[in-house]
Amino acid sequence: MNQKADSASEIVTREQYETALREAKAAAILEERQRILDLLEMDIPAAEHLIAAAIVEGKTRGEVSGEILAGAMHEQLPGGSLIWACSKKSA
Amino acid sequence: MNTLKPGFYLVAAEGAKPAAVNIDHALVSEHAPDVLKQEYTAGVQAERDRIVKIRSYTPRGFEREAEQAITAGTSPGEFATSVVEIQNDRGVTLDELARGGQSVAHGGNPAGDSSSGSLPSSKAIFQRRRQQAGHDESKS
Repeated sequence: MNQKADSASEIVTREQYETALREAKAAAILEERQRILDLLEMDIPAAEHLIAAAIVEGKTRGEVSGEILAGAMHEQLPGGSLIWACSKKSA
Repeated sequence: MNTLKPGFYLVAAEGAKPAAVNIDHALVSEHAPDVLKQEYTAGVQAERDRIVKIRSYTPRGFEREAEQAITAGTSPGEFATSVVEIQNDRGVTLDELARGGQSVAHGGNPAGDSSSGSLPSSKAIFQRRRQQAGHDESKS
């Protein structure tokens, strides 16, 4: 049977190749879904615009958190004012 | 039948059936990274589009259903259909949606407490039922 890889002749089956393609796509879907769920889980109403933009731009939750923090630091806000900073940044 | 993507070369083993046609591994190695990357990118884009569409089809008060649809891999069309079905089942109108919130999507507020969008306490429900019962008894 030719269904298994034959390392001696460096041949892979079509089935193996197509499986690799399917797995690559499935992994991409799951990783993207998790990225977006992580972003949605942030659940900061004032930063809704930031989060919506991050979903489309492919940013991670960490990157968005960093942006929020950077915005707050730039504004020299006291601790606890991050939500205010988000709303100002997204306005 | 050859269903492979362009850029790949098949090496047919002698006497092999069409389904068992092999691929030259060296050529696959040469081309596969690009093709795998394309598949990966296509997967990311498809999933992103799906979720963005679901979010755009989500009326106020249906956030929980939207999250379930995202997690379950539901298509935007299926999600939109289910939203309409839920709205029809519960007699939700667009006007109610505009005014609504959580209570609209999840079956209304049995205690009739319109002061907040949160679910009523059991105490409030029983109190309202007692009031209704007392009102009915006084009528009869």
